[in-house]
Amino acid sequence: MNKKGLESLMLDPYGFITLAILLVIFLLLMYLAGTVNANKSNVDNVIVPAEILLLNYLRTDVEVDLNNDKVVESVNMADLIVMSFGNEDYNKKLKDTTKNILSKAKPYGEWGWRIIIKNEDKILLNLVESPTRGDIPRSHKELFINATIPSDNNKIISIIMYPGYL
Amino acid sequence: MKKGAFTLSIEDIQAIPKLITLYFVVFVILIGVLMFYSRDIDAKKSESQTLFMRLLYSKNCAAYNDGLRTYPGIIDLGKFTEENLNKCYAVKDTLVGLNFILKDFTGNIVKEAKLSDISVDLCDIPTKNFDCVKLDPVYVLYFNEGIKKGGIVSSTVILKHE
Repeated sequence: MNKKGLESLMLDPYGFITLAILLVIFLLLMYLAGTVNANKSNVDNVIVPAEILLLNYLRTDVEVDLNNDKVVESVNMADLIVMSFGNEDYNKKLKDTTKNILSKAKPYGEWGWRIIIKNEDKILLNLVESPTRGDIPRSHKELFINATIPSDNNKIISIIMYPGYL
Repeated sequence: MKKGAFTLSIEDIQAIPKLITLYFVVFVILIGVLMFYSRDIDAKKSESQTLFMRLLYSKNCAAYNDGLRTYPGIIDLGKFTEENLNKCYAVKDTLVGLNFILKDFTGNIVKEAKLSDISVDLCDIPTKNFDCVKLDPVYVLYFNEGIKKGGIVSSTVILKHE
């Protein structure tokens, strides 16, 4: 240190190294911030109207012989699901119609839809639309859509739909 | 001392490395900030999806309305016309173009609406002054002669460059 108390920066290598490290960290953080934003724009792609698919799935009309009298009547999928819990004869119709709808609506090119229909006691349907490589990460909550409908025995039926990689 | 010459005190000389460091720090911060702001975030697909959602959700576009409420996701074929959708989107003479195709489950085209002066066929050309965003098909319902049917809407959004 000189007489007047001024200190040369070059004489303080530790301070200089600290500054250099901080600058590198700063640049790194700026770079990462940009990367995170770029990824965010990909996540935004996930605003595919998945709720519309579930809503329309439940509203789809399907023809069913309700009383085994060879007369087909039109009910919607929500009704068919409720009926399937009480009568297993409707399960095949439910499965076939579900498969038909989901195979037409591939969400993101390489992905297919999975569906789970269950009430408090049992799983009625756990359908993978086509063979998948695996589930999407559970952390992507926005990709899970679900609806609940009441059953005729006062139990809640949950319908959960989510995409998986094909 | 010569005329016009100036003297540097020891403090001035010692300040030179500090000034260099200061300029270096400012330079690095500027580079960092510019690096962040000049990053190109691709929002074309998000923008296109948002436009497409309007078709399904708005009663002014193609969503079915029974006079009491609107049913998002159910297409009113009477509204699925170029004239009505042009009113709904108001994209005429803008940099945005849209093309919607409604198909039934067998793949037959039920209805098509083109809201662009650029044909979708030109999307495959490698060098062009517009971008084409092909959105994933969406399962919809529509009324045909009073019967509710399932179908698929495919859409392409054309974003012209300025």
